[in-house]
Amino acid sequence: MSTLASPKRLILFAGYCAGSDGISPQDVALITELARFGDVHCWYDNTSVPIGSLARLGRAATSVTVQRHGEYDFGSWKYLYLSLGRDFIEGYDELVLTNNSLLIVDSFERLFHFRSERPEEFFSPLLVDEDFAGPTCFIEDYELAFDKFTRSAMYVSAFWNLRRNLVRSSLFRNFICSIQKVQDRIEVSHRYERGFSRSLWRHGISTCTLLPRVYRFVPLYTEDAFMLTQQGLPFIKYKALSQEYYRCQDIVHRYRSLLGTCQPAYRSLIQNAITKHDHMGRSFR
Amino acid sequence: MRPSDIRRIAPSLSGLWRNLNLLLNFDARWYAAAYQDVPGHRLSPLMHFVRYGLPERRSPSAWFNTAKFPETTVPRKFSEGHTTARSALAPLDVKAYSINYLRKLHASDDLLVFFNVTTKELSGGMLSIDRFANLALELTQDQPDAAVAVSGVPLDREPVHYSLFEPCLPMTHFAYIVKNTSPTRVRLFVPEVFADAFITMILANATYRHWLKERPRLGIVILNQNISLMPAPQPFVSRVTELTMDVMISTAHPRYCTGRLATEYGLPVKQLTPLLPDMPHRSWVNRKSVFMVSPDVLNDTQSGLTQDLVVERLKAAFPEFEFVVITKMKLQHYLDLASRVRFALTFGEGMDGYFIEPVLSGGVSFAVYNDVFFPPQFKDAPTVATNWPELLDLIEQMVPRLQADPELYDRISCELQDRLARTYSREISKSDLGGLLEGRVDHQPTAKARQPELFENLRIFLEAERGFRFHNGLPGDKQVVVAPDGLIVQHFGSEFYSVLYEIYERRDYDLNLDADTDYVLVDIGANVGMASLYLRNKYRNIREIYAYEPLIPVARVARENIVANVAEAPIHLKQVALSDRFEIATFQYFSDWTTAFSIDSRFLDSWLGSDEGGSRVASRSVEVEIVPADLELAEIVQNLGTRRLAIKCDTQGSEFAIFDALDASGQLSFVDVVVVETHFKRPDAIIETLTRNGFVVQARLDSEENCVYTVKAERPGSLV
Repeated sequence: MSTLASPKRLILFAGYCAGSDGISPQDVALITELARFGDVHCWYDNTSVPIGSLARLGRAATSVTVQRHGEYDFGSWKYLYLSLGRDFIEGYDELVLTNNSLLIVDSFERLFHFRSERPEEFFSPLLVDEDFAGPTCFIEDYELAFDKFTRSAMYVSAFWNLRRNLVRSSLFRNFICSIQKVQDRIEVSHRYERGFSRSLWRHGISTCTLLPRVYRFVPLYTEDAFMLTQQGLPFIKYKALSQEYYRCQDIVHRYRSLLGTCQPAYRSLIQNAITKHDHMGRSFR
Repeated sequence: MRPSDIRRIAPSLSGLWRNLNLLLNFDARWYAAAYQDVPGHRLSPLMHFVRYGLPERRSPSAWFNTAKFPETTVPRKFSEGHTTARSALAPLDVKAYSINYLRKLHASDDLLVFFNVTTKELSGGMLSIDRFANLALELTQDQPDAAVAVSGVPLDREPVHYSLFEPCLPMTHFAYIVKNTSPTRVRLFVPEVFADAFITMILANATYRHWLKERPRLGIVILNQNISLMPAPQPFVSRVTELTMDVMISTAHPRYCTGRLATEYGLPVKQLTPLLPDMPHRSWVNRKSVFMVSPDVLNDTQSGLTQDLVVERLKAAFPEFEFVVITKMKLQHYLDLASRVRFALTFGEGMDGYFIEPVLSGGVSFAVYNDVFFPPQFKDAPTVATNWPELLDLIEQMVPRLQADPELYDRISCELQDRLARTYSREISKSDLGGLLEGRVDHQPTAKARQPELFENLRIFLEAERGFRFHNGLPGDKQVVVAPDGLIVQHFGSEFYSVLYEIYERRDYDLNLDADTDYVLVDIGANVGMASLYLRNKYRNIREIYAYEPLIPVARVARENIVANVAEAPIHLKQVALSDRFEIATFQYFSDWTTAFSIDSRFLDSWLGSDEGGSRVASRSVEVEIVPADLELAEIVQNLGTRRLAIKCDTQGSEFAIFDALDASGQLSFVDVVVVETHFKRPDAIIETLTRNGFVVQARLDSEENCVYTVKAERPGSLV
C-alpha cells in the first residue's frame, strides 16, 4: 500500500466511533493519507461499526479490526501489536502509533519528510506540559528550567513514531504488553503517555519533535492549535474544536482562518467536523 | 540625552503620555528644593528628573502628585469594543486616492500594511518606512493580487497628511482596511517604538482582532530601526504571538542583526537596510560655506559638552561659516540644503540622515562614532572621532585644510561615500525587502541553552565539571556557592557564574607573585568579595587586602562573606568607588547584574536595560561616594613597610581614570603586579601607562562585542 519505497513503515491506527454512523469520512481521509506512507492497520474499539462505513475505507487500510476492549487507544495498539505479532512488526523500519482524535487539515508529507531526515529513535510532533504557563520556549531551555521527571511533560501520543531498534527493545515490548484497562483518560495519559515519555528519558533513548518549542498548557487544545497547523502540524484535534479543555476566545475567526489554510480537498470535511464538534452552538458559516 | 533617557520617557505609548504629562508640569525650582540629591548634582534638575525622578515616581512640581497619577493613562478609545470611529467608514480623504488604487486595495489577496507615525513632524524613521512602502509598491507591481497600504500608529489616531514630505501613498486608517478588505495574506510592518501599544490596541479591539485572526496567513514584522526603542521581549512576544506565530524582527543596522537578538526575542531576524534618498551630486566649488547641524540634543556627561557649546565653539573657530540647525524644514528643502553645504555635523545617532545625506551628495559630514549605529568600517573614517572633545579638535584641524584644498575635500567625500556604499545602496535595500517578502531570514532563534555564554550554562558546567556546589532558594532567597577550595560565598546569581568562571576556570586574576615578598592586595571592584577571598586562599603571602565595593547592598553581602571565611590575612572592605575625583552621586544598578555596575554607566545603561531574554529586573537607584584612587592608596602606601602592592581592578569603565590618577601620583612605583579588566574602549592608554612605569604588559581580548580586555602587568623578569 505504501507509495514510498523507504523506510518501510507500519502504522497502527486506534479508532473509536462515538455515534452510530461508524467510521467517519474524516477518518477515511486521515487513513487514506497515512496509507501513502505505510501499511495501516486499524483497530476500532467498538462492538461493531456499520458495514457501509467500513466500505468507505476501500483499500486504504491494510486491515481493520472492530472489537470492544475498553482500554482506550493504548489498548488498541496493544491488541494490534499482539495480533500482528512481534516478528511481523519488527520487520518494519518504523512503527507509527496514531489515532482518530486527529482531524486532517493538510498533507502528512512534511511531517514524514522531517521524520525521515532525523536519526533519533523516537519522534512525536511535540512535547507538552499541561502545567507550563510561561512564555513559549525551546525544549532545551524548558529542560534546563524544569525537572521534566517531576512535571507533566510528555510526547503527545496522538502520533508516535519509533525506529526499529526501539521497537525491538525490551523497553517497548514490556511497555506495550503491560497496557491494561485503567479508570479513565486521565490515568491513560499519566500512566502510558507520560509514563512512556519518562521511560524514554530514563533509558536515554534519543528523541525529537517536529516543533522545537514548548507552548503553554497543551497547545493542541488551546487557540494555539489553530496556529500550529501553520507551523507544520497537518492535523487539529477534534477536542480543540469542541473546546473541551480550554476556552478559545475567538474560535469562529480561527475556524475561518483554518479553512483558508487547509488543503482544499479537506475543506468540506473540516466544515462538517466544525459543525459537529462546536458544542458552543456558534453560528459558524 | 542618552537612548536610555528616551526609553525612560517613552517606555511605551501609554507611558509616553503619562510621562509627557509629568514633564509638562515640571517645576525645576520646586524639584531642586524638594529633593536633596538635586542641588549640586552634575545633571540639570530636568535631566535629573528624567533619569532618576521618573523611575522613582517622584513628583515634578508642588501641584502635581505623581503617586496619585495613574501608572498608565490610556485613552478610552483603546479599551475593549468595536471600532465606531468615522475613520472606519472612509479613508481620510477619498480624493487623495486614485480609483484604481482603491480597487486594487479592496480586491487584494496579499496585503502589505506599513504603519507610519501619525504626526506632522518629520523624522528619519518615518522617511525610512515611507521609502520601504514605496519599494514594496515597486516589488509587487507585477502581482495583480498584491496591494500596499500605509496606515497610522497609534491606531486610534486619525490619519495625517504629511506636509514636510511627499509620501508614496496617502495614509489609510486601519479601520478602513479592516472594513473593506479580505485578503488571504496580510503582513503588518510596525515600528518598534509603537509595537507594544499596537498589539495592546489590536488585542483589545474585537474588530481588529477578529479580522486579523481570520486571515489564513498573517505575518507581523517589527521594524527595529533603533534598538533602544524595542519593547522588552516579554511579555511583548507572548502577546504578539497570540495573533500569529509568524512574527519577525527586521533590523535597520547590521550591527544588531544578530543571532543573539533572534534568541533574546525568540523571533527570526532579517536585515532591512534603509533606503537612502537620491541626492544631486555637488563638488566643493558648488557648495556654500555653510555648516549644517542636526537638531538633536547633546548632553555629553564625560566632557560637559552640549550642542550649544559645540556650535558656539565652531562658530568662534569658523566665523566665515553660516551655521544652520535643521528644524521644521520640508524634506525637499532639507535635501537641497544638504547637497549645498560644505560640512554637516550630527548630534544624533551618528549614522543618521544628517550624516549620510550630505555625504551622498558629495559633502563631508562629522560625527562621534558609536558601535550601535555605525557599521564597523566607520570606526577609522577620517571625519569620525571617538568622543566629542576629539571630534571638535578634528573639525578645527580638518575644516581649514578642506576649505583650502578642494581636491582633498572631494577625495574625503568619496572615501566616506565608499564606506557608506559597503552597507547602503538601493540594490541592497531592494534585495533585503524582496528576501523578507519571500520569507528569508538572516538569523533564526535558537535555544538559549545553546548559547555558551549563558550564565545558567556556566553554572551547570561549574557544578558538573568543576565540583562547585550551588545552594539556591535558601531562607531569605539567599544563594550560596561552595567552591572547590572550600570558600562559602553568598552571591546574587546571574552574572556571578561568569565571575566564577573567570576566576576559577580562566584564571583571569591569578597573580605571578614573588614567593619571598609579602603583598598587600588592592581589589578595586570587589563585588561580593569572591576574587579577594580566592586570591587570599591561593597566595599565602598576601598579608592584607583592601577591597572596594561602592554598591551598599552588594558590599553588605561581601562583608558577610568575609566574616564567613575567616583567615589570617584581614580584608578591609571599603564601600566607596575609586576614580579620579570626589563626588557623591546617584546611579542606577540592576540587582541581578551587580558585577556590571559602573559609575561610568553611560555605556551600560541601555545595554543592561535592554534586557536579557526578558529576565532583566527593574533598575534601582543607589547613592555612591566616589574618591580619587591616588588619595585612597596614599594611606595604604604609608603603611606598606617592606611589603609590595598588587592591584586587581574590574570597575566597568573607571579603570582608565584610576590608572591616570595612580600614574600622576607616582604610586605605581609601589606596585609589583596589576591585573585589570578594561571595558568599552581599547586598553592602549593603560598599557602605555603601565609600560612607562616599567611593567611588562600582556593584554588579551575577551569580548570583541563589548571591547573587554584583560591586561596583566608585572615587573620584568617575573612575567610567566
